[in-house]
Amino acid sequence: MNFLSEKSFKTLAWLCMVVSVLTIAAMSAYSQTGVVTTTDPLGLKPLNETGGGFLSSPVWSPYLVGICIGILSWLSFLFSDHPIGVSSAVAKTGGMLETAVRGQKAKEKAYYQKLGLEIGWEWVFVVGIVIGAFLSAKLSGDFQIHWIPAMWEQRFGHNIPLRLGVAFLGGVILMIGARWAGGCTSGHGISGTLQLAVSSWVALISFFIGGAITAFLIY
Amino acid sequence: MLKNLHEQKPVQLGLGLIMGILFGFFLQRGQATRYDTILGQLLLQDFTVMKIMMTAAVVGMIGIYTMRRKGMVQLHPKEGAIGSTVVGSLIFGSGMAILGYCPGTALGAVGQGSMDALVGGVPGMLVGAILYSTLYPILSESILKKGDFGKVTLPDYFKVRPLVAVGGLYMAIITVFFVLEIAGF
Repeated sequence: MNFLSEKSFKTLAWLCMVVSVLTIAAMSAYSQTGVVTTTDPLGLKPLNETGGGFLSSPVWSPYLVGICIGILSWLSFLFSDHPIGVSSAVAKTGGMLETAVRGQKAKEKAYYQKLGLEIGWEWVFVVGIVIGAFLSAKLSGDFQIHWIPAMWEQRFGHNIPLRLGVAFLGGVILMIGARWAGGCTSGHGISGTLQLAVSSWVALISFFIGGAITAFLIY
Repeated sequence: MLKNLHEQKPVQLGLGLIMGILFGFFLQRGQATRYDTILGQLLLQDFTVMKIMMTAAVVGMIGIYTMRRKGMVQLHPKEGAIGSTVVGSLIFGSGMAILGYCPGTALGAVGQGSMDALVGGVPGMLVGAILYSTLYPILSESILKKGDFGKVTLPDYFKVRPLVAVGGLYMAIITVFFVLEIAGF
């Protein structure tokens, strides 16, 4: 910038960062405390009524979760030089499974050669997701074995095989789409958008268009 | 200094695991690992998913671009093309509406006890990946490269300084948040 010195730019940039974090934190805190009174001009809805302790509160404000994930992204770039992503690791696992069954013929597939079927940062990251979600659910009392989501059951009834079959089909289409697009909602939708990659913003918009149309067709 | 850290494989595996655990924790705590939340977003009733993703994007872009300017990080944008990004993402969205999870939240759902993710979704994803690898040779020759726009970023594409792009997106997204909250979402 011509009219700002390097030092001022840095100060400005850090200020913006701090202001953003504070703004979003304030909005999330506001939403979480359940302050909905007649003096509440913005009418912000409470997200949980208990307002309990931080780690045990079963619902965090989405703004707070977003801040946390954003900061986690800073750390993944800084310490691991690796954006957050999920679908590559799943695809590699699929490749490893096929190789285990079909041997060398599978390993020589062009796509697996391109992808590289090894266990790396993203693979353990994905394992971590399962562990982290488990920890969160257990700590907040939210862990529960269940087979059919409530919304699904309301619409389609209590039919476990049907739900499993549809989930399987959905998973197949999901991953074909993810690899076709080169990423999923984590890789494109979060990591890509924060890098301002055109591909990722295009992907995000298309995710939601495809998803919304299908969702409205189903429901 | 940090470049050395990036190259230490065992340490990186430990870091990856820890960051994954945090990511899964945050997603579950934010209710993003629930079918109802994701379908609720796609049906435009529950904007939790968008709030999480856009907040992460805003916080993320400010931090990443600031650090990049100081030479602390480098970008890894993904390449794109109409035939790959648009077509693939539409398919992905459709799959997400049918399954009710994205890959990350599906794994999170497994962690919170959702058996439809464990027994249906995850195997489906693995099969999908295998199927894609079979389709890939045909696709890469035909549709995947159509309308290629490469790894371009928004600042480059619109020929503005990163600060302008970040600042503009920040204001747009914060505005969307205020509108959503006022509208009762």
